[in-house]
Amino acid sequence: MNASCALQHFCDLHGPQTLLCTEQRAHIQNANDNDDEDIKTFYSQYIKSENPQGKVECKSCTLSPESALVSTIDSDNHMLYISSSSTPNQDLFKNIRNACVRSLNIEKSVEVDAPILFGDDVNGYCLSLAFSCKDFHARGSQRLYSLCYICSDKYHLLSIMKLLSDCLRQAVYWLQYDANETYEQEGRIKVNTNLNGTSTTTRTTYIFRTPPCVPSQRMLSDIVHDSKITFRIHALFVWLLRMSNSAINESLFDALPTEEQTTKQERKDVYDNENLSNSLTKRRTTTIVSRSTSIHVQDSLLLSSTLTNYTPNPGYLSTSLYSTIDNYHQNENGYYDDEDDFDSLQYQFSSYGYEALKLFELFIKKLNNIKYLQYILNNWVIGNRLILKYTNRMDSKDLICALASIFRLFLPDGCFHLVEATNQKGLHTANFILYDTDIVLTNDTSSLTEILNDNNSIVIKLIFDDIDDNLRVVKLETLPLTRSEIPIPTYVKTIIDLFTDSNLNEEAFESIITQHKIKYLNKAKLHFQLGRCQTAATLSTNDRQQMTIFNVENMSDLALIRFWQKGLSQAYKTQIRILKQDDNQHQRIQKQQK
Amino acid sequence: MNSILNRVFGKNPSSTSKKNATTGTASSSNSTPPLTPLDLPQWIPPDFNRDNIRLLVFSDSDDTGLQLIFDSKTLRVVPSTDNDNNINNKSSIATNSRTSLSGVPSSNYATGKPPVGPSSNSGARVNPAISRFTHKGKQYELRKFSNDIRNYADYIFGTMPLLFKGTGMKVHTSKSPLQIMMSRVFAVKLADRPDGIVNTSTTSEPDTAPVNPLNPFLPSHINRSLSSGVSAASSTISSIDILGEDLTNHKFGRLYRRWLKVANRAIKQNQRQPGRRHRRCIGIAFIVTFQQDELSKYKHFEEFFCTHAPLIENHFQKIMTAAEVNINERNSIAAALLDRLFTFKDDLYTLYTRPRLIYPAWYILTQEHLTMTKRRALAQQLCSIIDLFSTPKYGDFLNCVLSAVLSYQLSWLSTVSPSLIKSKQQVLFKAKADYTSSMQSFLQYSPLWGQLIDLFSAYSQPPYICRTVIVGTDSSLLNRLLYLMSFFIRPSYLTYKNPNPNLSDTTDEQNRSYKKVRLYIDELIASSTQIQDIEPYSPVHSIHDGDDDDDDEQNLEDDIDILSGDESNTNHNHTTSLNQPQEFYQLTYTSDDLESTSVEDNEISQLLNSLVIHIDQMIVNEQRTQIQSPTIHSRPTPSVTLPSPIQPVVNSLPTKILMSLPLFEPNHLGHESISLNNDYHLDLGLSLISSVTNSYSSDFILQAIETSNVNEIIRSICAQHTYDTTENGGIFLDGELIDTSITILINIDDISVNLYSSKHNDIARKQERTTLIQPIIEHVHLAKQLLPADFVLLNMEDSLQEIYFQALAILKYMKANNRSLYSQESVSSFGDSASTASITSGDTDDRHSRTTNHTVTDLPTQSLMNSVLTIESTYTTAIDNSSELVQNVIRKFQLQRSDYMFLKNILRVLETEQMQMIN
Repeated sequence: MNASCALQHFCDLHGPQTLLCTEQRAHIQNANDNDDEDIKTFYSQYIKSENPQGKVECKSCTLSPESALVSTIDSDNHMLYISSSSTPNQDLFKNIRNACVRSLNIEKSVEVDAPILFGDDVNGYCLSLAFSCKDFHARGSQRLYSLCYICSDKYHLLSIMKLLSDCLRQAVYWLQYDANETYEQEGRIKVNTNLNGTSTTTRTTYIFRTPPCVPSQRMLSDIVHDSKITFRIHALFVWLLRMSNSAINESLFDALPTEEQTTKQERKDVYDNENLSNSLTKRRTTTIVSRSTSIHVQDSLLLSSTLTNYTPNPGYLSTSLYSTIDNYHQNENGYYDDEDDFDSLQYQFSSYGYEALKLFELFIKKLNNIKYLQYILNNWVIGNRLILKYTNRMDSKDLICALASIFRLFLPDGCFHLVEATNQKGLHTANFILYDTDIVLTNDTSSLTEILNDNNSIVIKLIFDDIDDNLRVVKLETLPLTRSEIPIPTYVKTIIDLFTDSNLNEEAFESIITQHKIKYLNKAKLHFQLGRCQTAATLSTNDRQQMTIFNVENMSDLALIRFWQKGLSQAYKTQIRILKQDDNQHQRIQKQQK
Repeated sequence: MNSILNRVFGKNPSSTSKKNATTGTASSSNSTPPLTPLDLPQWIPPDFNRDNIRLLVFSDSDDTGLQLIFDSKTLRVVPSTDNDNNINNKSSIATNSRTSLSGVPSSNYATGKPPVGPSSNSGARVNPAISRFTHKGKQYELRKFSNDIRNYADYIFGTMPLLFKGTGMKVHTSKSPLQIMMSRVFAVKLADRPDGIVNTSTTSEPDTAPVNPLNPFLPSHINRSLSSGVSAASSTISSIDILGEDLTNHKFGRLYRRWLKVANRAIKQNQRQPGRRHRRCIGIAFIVTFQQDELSKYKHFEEFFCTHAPLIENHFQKIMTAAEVNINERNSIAAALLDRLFTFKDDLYTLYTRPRLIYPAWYILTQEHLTMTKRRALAQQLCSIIDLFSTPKYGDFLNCVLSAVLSYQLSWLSTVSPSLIKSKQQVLFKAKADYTSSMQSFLQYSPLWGQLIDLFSAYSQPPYICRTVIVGTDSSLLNRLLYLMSFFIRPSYLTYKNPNPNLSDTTDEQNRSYKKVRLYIDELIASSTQIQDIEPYSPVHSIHDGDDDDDDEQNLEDDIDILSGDESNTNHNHTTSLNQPQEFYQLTYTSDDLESTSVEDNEISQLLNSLVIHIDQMIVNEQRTQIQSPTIHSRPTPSVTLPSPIQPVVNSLPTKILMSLPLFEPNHLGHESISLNNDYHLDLGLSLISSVTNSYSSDFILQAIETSNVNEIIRSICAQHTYDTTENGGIFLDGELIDTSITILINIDDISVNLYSSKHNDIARKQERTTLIQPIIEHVHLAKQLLPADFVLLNMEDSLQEIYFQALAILKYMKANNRSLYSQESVSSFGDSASTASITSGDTDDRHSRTTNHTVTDLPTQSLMNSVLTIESTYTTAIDNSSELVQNVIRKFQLQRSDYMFLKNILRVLETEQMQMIN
């Protein structure tokens, strides 16, 4: 239960009574106010519980003549505060009642303005400060009140006890100050001593009245002469509650986002910036897209990607995949605000998962040669280009995407650059090319053929159709040289080994791959660091030495690590450079000192 | 160098400086690279006189009324010469030792006569109530009454004991006399026994005290184990889906437990105290007094007391137990209490004044304003320490140390789990979590509690706790290792944002500020708007309240229907139609933080929203249950919601108006919040890592002890373990029952690392070298030759992250590999042989809770140092039974067995949450 505050009064006739209590609850503000039923229900409970018939009709037991509920919303902290003279929350009511009786009747404090902390696990814990207000009409010219802060966590209450005590004292001082002023006004009569009119100086003297014989009951609002007292106390309580929430702040630390996430983010930023120049106005006007629109965007994305082949618009074909999607956005005139899937919706492993895993198993089966598989993966992970020449006899492009997503998974995000062969621009930089053989390329095809003939590229021919498990033919077109014995990277061994395990599900598969990727990325980081340090670079020119440093087994591992430096984020690289600069400077200073 | 070391490590100069001088030279002769100095302030122990602690024990029962049992103020050591003279007095001790308070017959008191001062009491004068007893060879005299006893009884029990005999805790503070008092009143669990049986109760140590399931002080662990645990689990499960990966997958342990606290708290509230009256209560208070001129000292202690209350209460609990156990034993209670009092005084003194490691490494590195130079110096320092301990002389020592610490002190785990979004604030290699402040405000947990959890690594459920003790004779080495360890123990750190509470002041001059604030509030009030279209609960419905649960649900739905029926009347429309153009919801946007919410925050707010939605749901559920059971609740409070018979007469119900008031933020008026400097007395993360000392203290999670007598330390560690796993041992963790208590004992002299666990107390397990940790150490070697030290810190973090990802992968692998058998495997792989019995007991929730109970730290078994044969054999079979999957894992991930042992504990923590998801 959340903490709450209460103002209580010891009535001459009725004993301890709760005048006002302020509670808080978590509250999410909905952008488009449709969700307000919840909060209305919440409010209506209060209005119901404000039925006065259960309440004693006693002036002294009422806070002010204006029976108002006050509510405040703190949208930053997602909290809602509401004050009422009694709460519909039965548990809280009981606790407040209990605190009220105890603080006014039972507990004895050592000093006048010393708060007491008391409570138990069942009734909650309470920090209470009892005080008296001057009132001319009261018995003994004063009335007894108390302020309580109630919460269920005793150590939490203890840890902010000091702060709360100070605040409660402030609140008390306010009330007392106002009550005193009223008392002063009521308790004495202004007398004009200048009766004869002789004296020029008009001095006013006061005569103190005798207190009334029969004490009368009065509301606190009269005593402090403030008709809006409910609001004022509410404001104070809210202030108190908010302060107690924020008094001690905990700082937790996470690791930075992984390189994968960072590179993804950086890529997105780049495209955002590119896009910003031409569609700045559009984007800013529609910052919030409702759910339905974004779903629509997704749908159209999938739809359009299947249509890509036949679209007459060369604009689609001539831009890279990323900007293609951006084009869709512009066409949809909406801002696609999904944070990490801006480009990869089609090729994200998690969106295919099981399907992709099974497909890749099928791929291996059809390939039917472990050597070939090793060869493909080996070249793939050390950065050589992979070209999937596929013939798609199906309506959907899902399968090819799923297959691509598997390959994508094997490499760090930064190392993966996919281009569809319909696109001329990125072909040379891309390391993964999807080439649909059905497309008749109208434009200059020279670069493509050039790439196809490149020795470092590996071409795999695929045929998809509905018959025979969807993937009918897998054929490695660039065959490995039979003689050459390139050592297989450990990473590839791990991957192949994983596929022999029949029990593996996609989740485990992904996390194991991720683990290994992190491992090798870390090595790549180290490689990058060494590259920035001159001494290190000269010391470790030897491959063997490097292998020991990186704790890897063979040359291919080393090649992998070198290539994977591409997967490091700009942020990381910048940081390393800064650190190195700083270190250099430091060393220079040290040398000078010597 | 010596002085530098002192400054760095904030040592108690008097105790260790001498040794330091010798060892300093010794280490330099060892060709130790000198530690880079950091300019840090010296540790200044606070001034604290333990004689200022006063203990009061009262007993209050229906039969005998209020009695004073023990007052340490009236305690006096009897000089030995006195002894012989007064031997004949001894016979009267027993009879007088329990004179009723103020000497008045208890019936007088009970009938409400005003309490009579002791001086005016003739009975007391006639019979000078003095009791004597011997304790540890000294004879003590306990005089009855000091003048203030009556007052203290009132503070402790309240002024109307007959009306309200409550149990619970109280804290009184006062300025004159300058003192702080903490008191507890609790019901005696042991029924009033005839004195004959008492002997058995004296032999029973606190740990064997009978467990009363209705004990009001420990409801939390009870409800966890009892039926409510089930509901907790079920609500947890539903929630986890909503919370998604953010809470459970990526922020293992840390956030999860913080969230879990709320869940448990909601349940805790529903716990009812039994209605029976306690026949006998004991009230115990300790009072710490300061001289009137020691205001600053008092303030320091008060702050310390407030933040360390859980730990202090844990010690206080021991006195309570002693009093309870001995309450019927007239002869020994005083001695027993005195014994406990001495221990308590020592404990408190130690906790308060023991030299701390000023600025642990992790703490410094996460500071926002850390300069490059400073950080580099730190990095170099850490590297040189690692270097020092990885010389051939030490062999695998450092590897073992890190393996043990990283395996059990899991606070590092969350610091390497990557955050999903770019944080606004980054500190070198870490991102400050942005979500904490919001989380804090609606989870409403105490950050100090969060720190305790982090420090004791009490993540799993039920928690195990872990402490690390470094022993050795060379204080310089101790210090260095301690410093290194402080880098791997990573609690959250606290920032105190003390808002200036001075809205007004008593002096005339500052009343202007009061006026100003008042004006401000008036403005706010003027701008408040009415929230309309809230319909009150229909009284027709409310009459049926409590008749039927279903009916109530119907009620809720009906109301929602009504409200949704006139959807056109949303707040939005209404408020715009008001005179004031402001919209209701936008009024609250007055906070100055608003503009900072940019698009970048979307992710955070999404995370938060999912959290909020969930919590909201919980609250709604809670409220629903409350509404559903008004018959139970309203009995004690029939005044409000129960429809009274008069109701039909009142036709026109005056509906209250609901006003919305903007946030009152006096900070706008120049009430700037003061941020305090963090000191150990405010921050447990700084406080619970002690510097080099001479004795063991259970409060510190990391401590270095300069001693040659290791056996003594081991003995106290084992004793502490026994205590920790008792009913009261976990009192500092909100009364949770601690499942296992572990201490990592690092002996620098022997170059050995041993693990002690409460499960098998005397048997230490030797920590073995793991391959997983090795890269961390190797990075440093690399640094020595090639790279700047700064890089090494980064690489070390990366290595730690690798471990984290590996653990994740293994967990998923294990899950996938044997999905159907998973729960069983988890028992056998993580559990001990005892839990294999529970496998057969069916596939219920109950079993799962039991498996988690058993999935423990059962310290892996091979090569026990002093292997008792039988124990070892049972363990190896346990491992063999389980090992198929484990073998698979080890093979698949190319681990060594010790690596698996290392990961096991991490897996266990990760698994605790996963378990719920499987269910």
